[in-house]
Amino acid sequence: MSLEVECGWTLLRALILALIATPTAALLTRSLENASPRSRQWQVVALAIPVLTPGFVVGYSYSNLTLDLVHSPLLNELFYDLLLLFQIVPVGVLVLWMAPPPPLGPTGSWCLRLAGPRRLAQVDSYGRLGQLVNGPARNLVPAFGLMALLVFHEFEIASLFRVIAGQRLTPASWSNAMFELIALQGLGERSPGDLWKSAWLPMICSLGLLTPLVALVRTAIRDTGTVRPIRTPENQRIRQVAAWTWLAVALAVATVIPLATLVHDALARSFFNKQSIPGLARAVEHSGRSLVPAVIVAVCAAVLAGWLLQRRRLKTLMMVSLPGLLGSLLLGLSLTWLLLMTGPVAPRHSLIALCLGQTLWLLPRAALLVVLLAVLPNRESTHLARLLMHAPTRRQRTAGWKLVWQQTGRRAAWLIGMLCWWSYLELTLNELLASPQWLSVAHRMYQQMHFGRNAALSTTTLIVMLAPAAILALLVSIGRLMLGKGLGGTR
Amino acid sequence: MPPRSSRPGRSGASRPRDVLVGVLTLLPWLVSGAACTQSTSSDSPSIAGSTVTDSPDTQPPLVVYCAHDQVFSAPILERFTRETGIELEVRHDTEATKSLGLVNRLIREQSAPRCDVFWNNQVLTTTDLLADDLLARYRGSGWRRIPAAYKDPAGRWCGFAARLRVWIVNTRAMPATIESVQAASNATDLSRMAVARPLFGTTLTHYCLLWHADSGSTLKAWHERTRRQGLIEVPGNAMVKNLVARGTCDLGWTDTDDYFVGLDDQHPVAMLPVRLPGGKTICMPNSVSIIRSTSRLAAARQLVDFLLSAETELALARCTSRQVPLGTIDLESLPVEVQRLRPLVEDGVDLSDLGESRTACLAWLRNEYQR
Repeated sequence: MSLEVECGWTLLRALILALIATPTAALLTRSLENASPRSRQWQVVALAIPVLTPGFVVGYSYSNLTLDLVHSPLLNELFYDLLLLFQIVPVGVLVLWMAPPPPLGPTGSWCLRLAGPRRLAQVDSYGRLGQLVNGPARNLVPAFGLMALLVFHEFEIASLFRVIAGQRLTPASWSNAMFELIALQGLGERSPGDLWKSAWLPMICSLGLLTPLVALVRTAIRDTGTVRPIRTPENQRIRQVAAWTWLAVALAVATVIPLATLVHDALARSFFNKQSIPGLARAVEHSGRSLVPAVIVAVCAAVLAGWLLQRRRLKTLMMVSLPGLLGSLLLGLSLTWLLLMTGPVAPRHSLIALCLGQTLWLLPRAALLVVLLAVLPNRESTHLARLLMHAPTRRQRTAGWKLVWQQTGRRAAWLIGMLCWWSYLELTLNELLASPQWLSVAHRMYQQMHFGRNAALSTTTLIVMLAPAAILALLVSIGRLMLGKGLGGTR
Repeated sequence: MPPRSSRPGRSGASRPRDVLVGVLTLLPWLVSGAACTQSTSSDSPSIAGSTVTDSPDTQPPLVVYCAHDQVFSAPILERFTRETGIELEVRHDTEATKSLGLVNRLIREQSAPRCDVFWNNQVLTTTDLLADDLLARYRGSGWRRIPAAYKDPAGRWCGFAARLRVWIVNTRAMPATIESVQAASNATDLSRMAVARPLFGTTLTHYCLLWHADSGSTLKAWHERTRRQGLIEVPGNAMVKNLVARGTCDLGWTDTDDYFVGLDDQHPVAMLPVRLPGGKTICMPNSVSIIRSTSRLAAARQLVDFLLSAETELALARCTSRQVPLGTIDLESLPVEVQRLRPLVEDGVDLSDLGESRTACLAWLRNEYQR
C-alpha cells in the first residue's frame, strides 16, 4: 500500500473514531461535573490511567491476541480501534471539562429561540451555525479534532499489530508506511527536503484536524463564558452507571489486563529473585536519569507556549508548533539532518539537540493545555489570592499561597506533569537525538520488548510507572510540610 | 488589603517558594549525579591486558554501539569493565526506528564521529560501512582464532557467536521433517505459514541470499506466488515464533535464538535449518569492528579481542539464545543444543559478497511494498 493510500485509511479511521469518542467524552464530562467530589476524584483517576499507560506496552501485551486474529483482518482492525478509543476519550474529556464555558449558554440559546427566526437572521454571528459554534459545539469540535489528531498520529500499537495476510494489510498506518519508506531508501541519501515532500499529505491532514483547536484558542481568549450551564438532574443515575461502566471497561482493557499479563509473565519466569537485583537497580537508576531531560523539556514547552499565548503571538505559536504536528519521526529526522549531520559541532551529542527536538514536539500539546488551563473563569478570585500572598502576617500569606496553589498551581502542576510524562516515554526523538548517556528508559523497554524479554519488561514497566509517582509523592509531602509549618506560625 | 506594589513582608512570604525552588533546582543534579555513575562501573581496576597504554582514569569512556540484545550483551560488557578498568558508554539498538539504527547512525556521524567500537548482531549491515571507509584494520588475537569464512581478510570486521536461520514447526500440526516442510511450503494455501516482513534484519539477509542465487528471478516469482496464496507477514521473527508456538500457524522462518525462546517456554516446536538451493545453511554471526576515527585505539583493540575470545563466545553459547561459537573452543563445555548446531554453522554460506545483491533486492522490495 502506498503512503498516500495508508494516509487516507488512517484519516478515515481517525474521523470515525473521533465521531464515536466525542459523545462518549461528553457523557463522561457530564458525569464528572455532576459527581460528588469524592466520586469525581476516582473518576479522574480511572480516566487518566489508560491514557498514561505506554502505548507500546499495551500493544505488546495484546500482540499475541492479535496474532490469533491474523486470519481475520477486520477483527484485528476493530480491536485496534477499541484500544485507541479507550486512549483518546480521556483526552476529549479533559478538553471538555477544562475548556471555558461557551459564550452562548442554554439561557442565551433559549432567548434566541424565543426571538424567532426573522429576528435571529438579523444577528449575523448568532445564526443557526453561529448558535452552534458559540454554543454547545464550541468545545465539542476542538475535542473531536484533538482526538482525531491523536488517532491519526498513533503508530506504536499499529506497528505491533501490523500484519499482511496474503495481500491484505491491517491496520493501515501512514507513520509505519513512512518508517518503511525511509528504511528502504536509506536515511543518508535523504535531505529534509525529500522528507517534507513525502510528508505534505500527513501535514495537511494534521493541520485540518487542528483547525478547530486554533478556533478555540481564538474564541476562548476573546469570548469567555462565565457560568457553566446547570444540568438537569434527569437520567442522572443512568448516566452515572454508563460512565462507570465505560471507565471500568477502559481501565481493565487498556491498563489492567496488559500490565497483569506482563506481571504474570514475570512471575511465571521467576524473575523476582536475587539474580535480578542488579537489573532492578539499573532500571531504577535509568528511570531517574530519564526524568531529567523530561522535566527540562516539559518546563521549556510550557513556558514557551505560555509566553507566546500571553503575548498573543498566535502566528508565531502556530509556526513553531508545525514541526511537532508532523510527528516525532519526521521532526527527528529533520533535526538529525540539521543538527547532527550538517549543523555546527556544538549541539551534537549533547542534551541540546534532544531538548530542542522534544520541546518542539511537545509545543502543540503544551499550547493546548495552557489554553485550557489559563482561561479560567475565576480570575478575580485568583487576583485576590495573589494579593493575599503579600499580606502582613505569615498566616495570611500562607493562606494566600494555598489559595493560589488551589486555583492555578495545581492546574499548572498537572500541565507540567502531563508534558513530563509524554516526554519521559517518548522514544523516536530520544533514539535519534540523544547521546548514549541520555537514552531514555523507554529505549530499554523497547529493546526488552523487541527481544521478547517479558519478565524484564514487566519489571521495568513497573519501575517506570512508579519512579515519577515516588518523586511526585516526595514533592507533595515537602509542599504539605512547608505549608503546614507556614500555617502553624503566627507572624 | 495592602496595595500589590508595596509587597509587605516579601522576604517572609518567599521562604517556602525559595525552599521549593531549591528542591527543584537540586533534583536534576541529584539525578544527574546518578547518571554519572551509570556507565559500567569498575569494581576492580586491575588491568588484565597488557596493551593498554592510556590511563583509564583520565580517559573518557569508550563508546560502544551495540546491536545485540541488551540482556545478554550488558553482562559481557560489564565483565570487560571489571577486568580492564576501562569505562564503557553503550548505545544499544532498538528497532523502534527500524533501519535508522546504528549503521545509519555511524554513517550520519562520520563528520563528527562518536563511536569507538561497533558490535553488530549481523555481518551484512556492517559491510555497508566499508563503502564509507569507516572501519579500522585490526588483526589481533581474537581475529586469528576465527575461521576465514567469517572475517574480513584485512581485519576491518570479524564475526563471532552466530545464529542460524531455521524453519520453526509446530509439532502438533505437522512432523518436523524436510519432506513435510517442503510439502507445506509448496501447498496452494499458505495461510498457515508465517515470515517476518523482509524489509529489515535477518529476513532481509535471507531475501538477499535468495536474490544472490539468480539475480532475483526465483525470489520474485516465489514472493508473488506466496503472497497470492495467503502467506502471513508479521513485524518480526519473534512474532513468527509466537504464531507457530500458539498453533495459529504451522510453520515459518525464524532464527535460532527465537526458536529457543519458544522451546524454553515449553511450546510444541521443533526446528530444521533453512538450506539455500546449493545446500548451504544461513549462518549469521555477530560482528565487531573498530571505528577508524577512534581516539582510544588501544582500549578499542582490547575490547575487540575480549569479544572475540573463547570466553565471550562460551558466555553467549550458554545464555538462553544459545549462540554458536565460531572459533576454536572446547566442545564439551558447550550446551548440548549448541553442540548440535555447530556442524550447521560450518556449512554456512559466505555473506561477505552480498553488497550488489542487497542493493538490487532493496530496490525491488521498495517497489513491492510502496505501491
